[in-house]
Amino acid sequence: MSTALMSAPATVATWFSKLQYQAGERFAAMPSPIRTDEHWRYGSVKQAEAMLAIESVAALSDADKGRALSESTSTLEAAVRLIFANDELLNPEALGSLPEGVTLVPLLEAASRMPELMQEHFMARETSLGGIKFSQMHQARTRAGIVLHVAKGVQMEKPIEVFHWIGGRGSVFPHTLIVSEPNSQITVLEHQRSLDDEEQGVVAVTDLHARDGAKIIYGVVQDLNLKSRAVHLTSASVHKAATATALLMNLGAAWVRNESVSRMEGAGAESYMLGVSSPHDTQEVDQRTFQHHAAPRAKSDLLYKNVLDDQARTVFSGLIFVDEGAHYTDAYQTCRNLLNSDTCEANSMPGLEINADQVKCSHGSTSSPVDKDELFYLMARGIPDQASRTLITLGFLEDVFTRLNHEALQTAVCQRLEEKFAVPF
Amino acid sequence: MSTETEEIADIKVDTIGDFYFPENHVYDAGFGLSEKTIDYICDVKNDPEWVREFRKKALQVFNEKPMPTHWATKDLENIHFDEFRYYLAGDRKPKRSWDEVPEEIKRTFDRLGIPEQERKYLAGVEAQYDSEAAYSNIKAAVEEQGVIFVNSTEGLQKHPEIFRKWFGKVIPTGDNKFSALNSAVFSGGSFIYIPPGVKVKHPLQAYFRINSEQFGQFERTLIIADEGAEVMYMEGCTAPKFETATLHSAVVELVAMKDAKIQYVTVQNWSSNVFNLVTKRGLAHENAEIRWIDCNIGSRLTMKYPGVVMKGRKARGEVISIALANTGQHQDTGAKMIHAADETTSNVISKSISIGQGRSTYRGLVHIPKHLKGCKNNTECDALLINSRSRTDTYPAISVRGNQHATQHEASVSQVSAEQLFYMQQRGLSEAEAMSLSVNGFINDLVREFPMEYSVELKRLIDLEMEGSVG
Repeated sequence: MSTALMSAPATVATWFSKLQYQAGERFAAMPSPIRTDEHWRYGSVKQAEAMLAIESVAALSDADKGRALSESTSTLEAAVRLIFANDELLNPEALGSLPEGVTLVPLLEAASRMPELMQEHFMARETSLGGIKFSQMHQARTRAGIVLHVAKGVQMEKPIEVFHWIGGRGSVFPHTLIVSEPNSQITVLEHQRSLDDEEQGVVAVTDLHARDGAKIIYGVVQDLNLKSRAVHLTSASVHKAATATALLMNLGAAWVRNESVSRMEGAGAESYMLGVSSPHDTQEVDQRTFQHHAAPRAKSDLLYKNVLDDQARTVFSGLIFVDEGAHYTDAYQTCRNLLNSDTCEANSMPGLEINADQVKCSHGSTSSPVDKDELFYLMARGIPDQASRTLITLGFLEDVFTRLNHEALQTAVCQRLEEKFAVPF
Repeated sequence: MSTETEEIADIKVDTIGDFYFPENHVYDAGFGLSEKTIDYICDVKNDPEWVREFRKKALQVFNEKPMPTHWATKDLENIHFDEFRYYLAGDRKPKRSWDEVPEEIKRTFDRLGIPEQERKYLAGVEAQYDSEAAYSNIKAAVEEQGVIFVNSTEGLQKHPEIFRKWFGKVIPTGDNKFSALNSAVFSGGSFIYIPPGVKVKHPLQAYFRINSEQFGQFERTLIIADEGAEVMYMEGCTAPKFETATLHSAVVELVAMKDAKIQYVTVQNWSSNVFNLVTKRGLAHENAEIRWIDCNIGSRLTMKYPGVVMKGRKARGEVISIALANTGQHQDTGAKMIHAADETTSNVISKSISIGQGRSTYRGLVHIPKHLKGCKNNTECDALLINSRSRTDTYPAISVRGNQHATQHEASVSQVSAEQLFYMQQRGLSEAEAMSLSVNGFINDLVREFPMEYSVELKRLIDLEMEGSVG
């Protein structure tokens, strides 16, 4: 999407403009979340209301755009690196270097160029985890993001990397739609970052569609400033023998709400839902997940790990739902909290609703401090207390990354985490 | 349920618990609930003025509170409170001698085996028939130790200094809609006080029997174990099956003072028309222990989440539960563990079995607030599904603050393995027998926690529920 396209709404497909207008009407008419809503149990409705009130961002100065371009770095050797700042694509020229069968188009352009694909998938399913008002807000205001289509049988080795920068006060609405046709393979890593210390908001939506035998690996590292708020609604439709892996990593923001739905649509589908959060200060991370088994012989495995410091607070609410007839389901859900301060707070609500027999379903949740024996072992070998704790913390989180099953991606996200913890030897 | 066909004059008999005598009540508050109903109950029971006031306030709370259907089953909306009778009693005074008990009531409890158990095994027994206790007895040796075991009416009239101090303190009227209902119309139930240091060797038992159609039973139980005291209390419940719904809404409050131990065992076998909506909670002081051992069989809908508030340092709370949901039944059970002092520990082990189109639900709460140190919780819940239309749900909530606690929750859902069934069938067992054996194996480690007489009964009840459920 070029800057020209953004400044000339007349070029946006009429159907899309109409859809956005209708979503805006629904957004305005819809009540905000309330405390008694089960989907907001333990959650902060005040933060949600503040987030819903924030306006869209203004355009950035050239200096800020330059900074966004120069600071968009990572260890990942990407096939394409797209850089958005305040919903504007800063390097459209990067789109030219994709292999055959992989179509990567900025969102608004896709509404004109790929109307059938967009009409079929763009916000096609209503969110069910309490964030419907955010979903309408996103639908009404989104103007940046990517639509990625991978043709049948195309297996793209190198990942695609997308940066979403935000500068000044206001919100952005990044959208990611990935459709991976039968037996194709794609990997995408996104970053959400702040350019300054203003109060900012991100309301992002990611929809993954893995057709029969396809494989999608998706990760997002949210690293906004500590005045920001972030909402991310993700969904994955996983078809016969396909695999979808999605990692949500939260390093920044004062308040985060993640809602993730994974729907097993075909026999043999596999979904891996991963989460890593390390809130400190007074940060709050609110995670809601839904593993929906609509087909038999499918597998879903969720692993969320949180490390809490200072007065940080987390909420995890997850549900494994097995439809009638979805026999031989294999579903797991685990949330583990590492409690590093005597004022942090972890709330867990793992859940199961099982309507079929011949299933193996389980969930587990633990909350505990660093193991004293492990700490003693490291300190006895001369590693100072704080460094030992950090090493144990990184070790605690590492097995989430190994489930990405993608070495380069694993290295990139691990490095970002290590930078944050910066082991003080 | 068995297919017993014994013919007894005047009573209808189908199965072990599913029989009833024609109604012969002296006191009947009539249908519906209003201040008039409460005045009627107060007048009949000769309640002191504070109880009348307490009941009327509770009625107000009950009327104001909505049904909790935003999180619970919509089946609650099928309870029509105007269609129940809230107080039914014959001769109001419980008999101390078995021979004095009216013939039909005696025959009811004879059939359920109460007198034999009392002779063989129990330190005291109370048998409630509809709204009031029909028989209440405690062994002389236990009574001499200062143990009080009476029904709640007698408790509030004869021992007000203890009763009033704790009544409604563990479960306040406004705790939930059904605790408010019970507070408004409570009748029957047990009041037990164990003096300091007294360890009651044999269990005390209460048996609750609903005999009448369109009736609500609202017993209120209050058990206080003073410092260093120990007691085991067992309750059993049955009702015949009528075409119309029956309501059972009890409130049970336990208070374990410093170093005391209370073990509360429930085996309920309600018929499938009973709405069983019960609030049970214990308050454990320093180094005290409260254990709820709970077996839920039958009823149309059970909503019961026994809880322990660990108020004193090193207090312990435990819930061990087994639920069996057959077609037309929803066992919505669980546990609440509120840690309110340092170094408190809690343990929840729950096993459920869903048969036919039955639905079992585990709903739990573990709460460790700020400023506490060294609290631990372990929760395990396992569900077994027997048929393709059966259903199970798990909804725990665990809230922990601070870094000096450890909580762990694990839940799993599985089915009886086909290999296991095949193995047993190869050795000559029918499919139903093999399934029944597997189910008993699934709950075996929990059944051991029940007193032996109850273990045997439990296994038998499960076998009966399993009959014809396979395939």
